[in-house]
Amino acid sequence: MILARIKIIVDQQFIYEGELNERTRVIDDLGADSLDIPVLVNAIEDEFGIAISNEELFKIRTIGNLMKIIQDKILGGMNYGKC
Amino acid sequence: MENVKSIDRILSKTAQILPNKTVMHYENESITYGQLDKEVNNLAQGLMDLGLKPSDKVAVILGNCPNFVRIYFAILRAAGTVVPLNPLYKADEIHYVLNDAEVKLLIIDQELLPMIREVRAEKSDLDIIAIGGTKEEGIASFEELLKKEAEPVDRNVEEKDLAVCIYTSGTSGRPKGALLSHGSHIFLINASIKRLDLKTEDHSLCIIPLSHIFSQLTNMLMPIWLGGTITILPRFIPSAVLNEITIKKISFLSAVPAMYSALLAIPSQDQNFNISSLRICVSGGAPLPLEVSNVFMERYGINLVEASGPTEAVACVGSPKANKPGSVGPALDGVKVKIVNDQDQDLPQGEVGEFCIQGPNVMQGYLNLPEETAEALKAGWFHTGDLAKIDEDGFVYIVGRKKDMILVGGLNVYPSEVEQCLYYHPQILEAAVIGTPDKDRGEVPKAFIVLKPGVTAEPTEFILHCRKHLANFKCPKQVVILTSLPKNPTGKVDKKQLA
Repeated sequence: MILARIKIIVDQQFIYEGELNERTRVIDDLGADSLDIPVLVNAIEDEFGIAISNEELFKIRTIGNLMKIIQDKILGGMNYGKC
Repeated sequence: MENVKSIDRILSKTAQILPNKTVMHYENESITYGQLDKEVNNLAQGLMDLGLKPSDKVAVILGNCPNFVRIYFAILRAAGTVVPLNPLYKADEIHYVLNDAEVKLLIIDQELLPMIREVRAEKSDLDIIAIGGTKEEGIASFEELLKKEAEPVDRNVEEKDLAVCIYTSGTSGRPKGALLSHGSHIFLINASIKRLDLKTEDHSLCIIPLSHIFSQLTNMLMPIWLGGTITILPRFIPSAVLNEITIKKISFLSAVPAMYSALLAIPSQDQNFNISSLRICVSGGAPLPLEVSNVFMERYGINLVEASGPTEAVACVGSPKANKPGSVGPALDGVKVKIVNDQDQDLPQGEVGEFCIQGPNVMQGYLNLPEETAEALKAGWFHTGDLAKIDEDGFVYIVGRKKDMILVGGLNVYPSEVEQCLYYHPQILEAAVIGTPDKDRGEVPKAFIVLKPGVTAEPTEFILHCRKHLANFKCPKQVVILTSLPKNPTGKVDKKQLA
């Protein structure tokens, strides 16, 4: 469910090959540059009603990193399995 | 600082005077001048032990972090030549530079090693040092070199010696290595410090890639010359920038116009930022829109000064004390500038023509390209390819480009490089690339293609094709498929008809 919601946002901003999954790399696979990442993160924050800190932002390399941040914030760190 | 003949001595002299002062902050790490100088020495010896000889070229592929600074100074202390590469480069681009510059040693972030898999297979004599990660067969460990204690290294580097070979995109489609000496750097550092009135007490925030000369000068060399302090951010995140300025009381910021726009896009009432410590803000890499400059002044009370100069010859820096909006400032003291027409004749004040530069700031030439060097440096002046005018006070105004170039967030992209990449796609018959306005980046590439007969394809296929071979910022954001490209009477593509 989280991945599906991320996909809607990513599809509005990026062009990429294949399926979006946890291993999809933001720069290499989505083609993001430094100005794309804050825009993506703002959209994610609005969608999920969360705030992502600067320290967390610096560590985002993959969609999996983003999913973990979202899961940790909305599920309190408990992993309910793949979303 | 008197009688400094080489860039690495800037660090050793400052470390003698201020050994315990913090030179760099990065994440939770703080490093003093004394510690940095010692680490640079250890690394320099390590490079020499690996066989680095004077003038050997060392490529560095690394994002913004203290290790870039360590490595830069270590290579120069070992009398090598730094070849900094944008870490966003793809395998093809890296491969080209490593071959063209006959790089002997590559220092790379371990995360980027997969990018050079093919290069490693082809160039078995290339020594590689990896930073981070687990130790790999055939690859030296950066951490081991850093820790191995060494005696002070001095290879008697002189002003005329080559310091850096920076690759800059060109109209031919392949990047060219601009050769810059220790002397030209030392001249630029001194002249820029004087123009900006930068001081020892200033604290700089490094947000533009250190692989670019603008960042090397403003975020590394100028602060270290003065004994200042640098905070390095690994990535440009607007809220993080404002946060860091607030917490660390940053006084000096250099950025490209797209970054200043992004900072202004954060509503001032959203966060508790206090940027009253900022006293000098420099904009470079691309023309600064007047509205960005005006809003910055209104909101923060700070004059954005512009700097200009291609990699080959950084020439103009505005002054916070005497700024003219829309101008990149006068030439630095000791640099001459003029405007010429198509016949290379000098034009009078106020007239628009090609901007030319002469002085100790100018490159020695392009690596392996004698004809291009002669053309660029004809009659002893560096011809920039920019269109400009100079006013009665000597202030320079860049008004356009003679060269076919796109500026994407301050980064140069030559359409011919993107077109060549498109031509490699088996389904493309013709391709033309232009710059199209982008509210965040200034301009982005847009491609127009004609497919081979009988072929059908989706535009996204060609964006993904470019992404495999070119850094993301060079890739077209949009591809339009046409049945034919507009041509002028001589048969060349008429880009003015494309939009």
